[in-house]
Amino acid sequence: MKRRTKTAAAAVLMIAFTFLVLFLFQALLVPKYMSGVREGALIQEYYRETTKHDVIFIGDCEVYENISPVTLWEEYGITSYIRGSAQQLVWQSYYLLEETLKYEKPDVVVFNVLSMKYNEPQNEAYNRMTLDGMKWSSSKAQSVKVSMTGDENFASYVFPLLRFHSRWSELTKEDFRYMFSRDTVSHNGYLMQVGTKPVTTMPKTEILDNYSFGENAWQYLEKITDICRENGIKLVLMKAPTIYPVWYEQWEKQIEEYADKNDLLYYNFLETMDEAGIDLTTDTYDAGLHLNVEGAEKLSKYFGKILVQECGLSDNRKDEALSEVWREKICAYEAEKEQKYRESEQSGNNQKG
Amino acid sequence: MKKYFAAVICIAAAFVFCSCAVGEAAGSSKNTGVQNGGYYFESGAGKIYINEEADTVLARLGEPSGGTYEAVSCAFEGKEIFYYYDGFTIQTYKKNGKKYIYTINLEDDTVKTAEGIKLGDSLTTVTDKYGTHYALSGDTYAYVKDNMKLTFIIQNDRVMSIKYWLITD
Repeated sequence: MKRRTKTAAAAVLMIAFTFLVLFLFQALLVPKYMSGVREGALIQEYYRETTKHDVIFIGDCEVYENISPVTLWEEYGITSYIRGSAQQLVWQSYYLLEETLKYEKPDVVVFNVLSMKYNEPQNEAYNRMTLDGMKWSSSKAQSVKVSMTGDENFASYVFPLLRFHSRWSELTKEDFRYMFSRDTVSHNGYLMQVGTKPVTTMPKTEILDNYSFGENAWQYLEKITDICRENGIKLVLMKAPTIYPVWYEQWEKQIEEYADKNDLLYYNFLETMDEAGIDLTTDTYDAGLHLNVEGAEKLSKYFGKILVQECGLSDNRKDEALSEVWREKICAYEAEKEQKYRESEQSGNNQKG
Repeated sequence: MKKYFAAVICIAAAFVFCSCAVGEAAGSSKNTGVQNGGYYFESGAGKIYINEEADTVLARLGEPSGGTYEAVSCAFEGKEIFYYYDGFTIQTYKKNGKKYIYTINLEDDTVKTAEGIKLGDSLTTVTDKYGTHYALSGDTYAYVKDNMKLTFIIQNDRVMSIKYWLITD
């Protein structure tokens, strides 16, 4: 009996040890996204939030580089979070929203429509940046299934070590430093950029074979609309004021018709740049692909007013507890802005922050 | 027991350090195999191949009359640059510090493919020159050769677009 107990204990110990070793290797080898490609760290930062939000933004870089939640708070007392990621596809936005609704019920969801141009899975590297950061849930599992490109497999999302075990030759100090915890790189999902690279040449528009959005993209936009409706959430569609990738008139027409048909608000900020005070000779850090922090603040001021007027959002700044939370966020935001301006000046590089 | 712990560590290390990776770590997926093959475009400055090093081509072509547009990737290092010349656009990508030709787009009927096709030509003219071994998707006729493709968008029996592409992973 005693011997049997000893054997069982040894087996348990051996299994636990095996898992511990694999866990440590995985923690070391997965990309950390703390410098360079910081976009990969965005999705998981949401889970650190301690308060709920009036507005949740979903979409690609057109939300996480162009909207400043801190400005929305400072100007209108709107609490918001951007669940954005690089080249976030429509089905990924849907499953992120579905997951978010397990944590909170915002008054408004804003979806940026550029990703409607994609009807199929695109690129593993971008998939990883959206999916690996999600906590495990049925939403993540579904999102992985519909996002995988031909060369990917589900098991590598469950055990990222299967995918990244060959990174051992690329390991840097960052991989050891952030094995068990990561810094926060965003401000409620907003990835700050400073510097100016003005638009001097407009990108040419290429002829497309077919301007109709694909069936799959429509299906998931429909699901976003439905889930918002079922939860009593106002869905707002937006197109950020950036000039590349080109937003075709034919695409605009389809979104306008969809918004009309479903009684949704839709704002194409390319058409209201002057009104918002956005100038692409000063308010972009990469020649019109994304706004710099000044541009994002201008757009947020403009959009925030619309959200208050059209969606009836109230000012939360009188709420002491919330104000305390946001005071800290503002401090971190201003500190990063100052640091980035300083670095930009020192390097004499006025391009990318 | 000690032997077991040592074995686990050795096996795990062997697995981790094994170089038979599923693929490269997350990153850009453009094909890096430089080539001078496939269909080429011929401008006044000579032949231009997809995925050939861009610097020499651009030097031959001179300053682009319509300027350039740099499209930085949303998350990855490197950028794609569009060079707007009279009648055509060259798009380059950067890999390991060097620029390569990614696409060539013919913008108007002042230029034509090396085989003589220009915007406005008919489908028959295209198939006469390139044959019928195209892959058809919607209105796009694609001819694949040596890791590149040449596509024609043909609507109402008129060539609306001509583009040379690098085939990416």
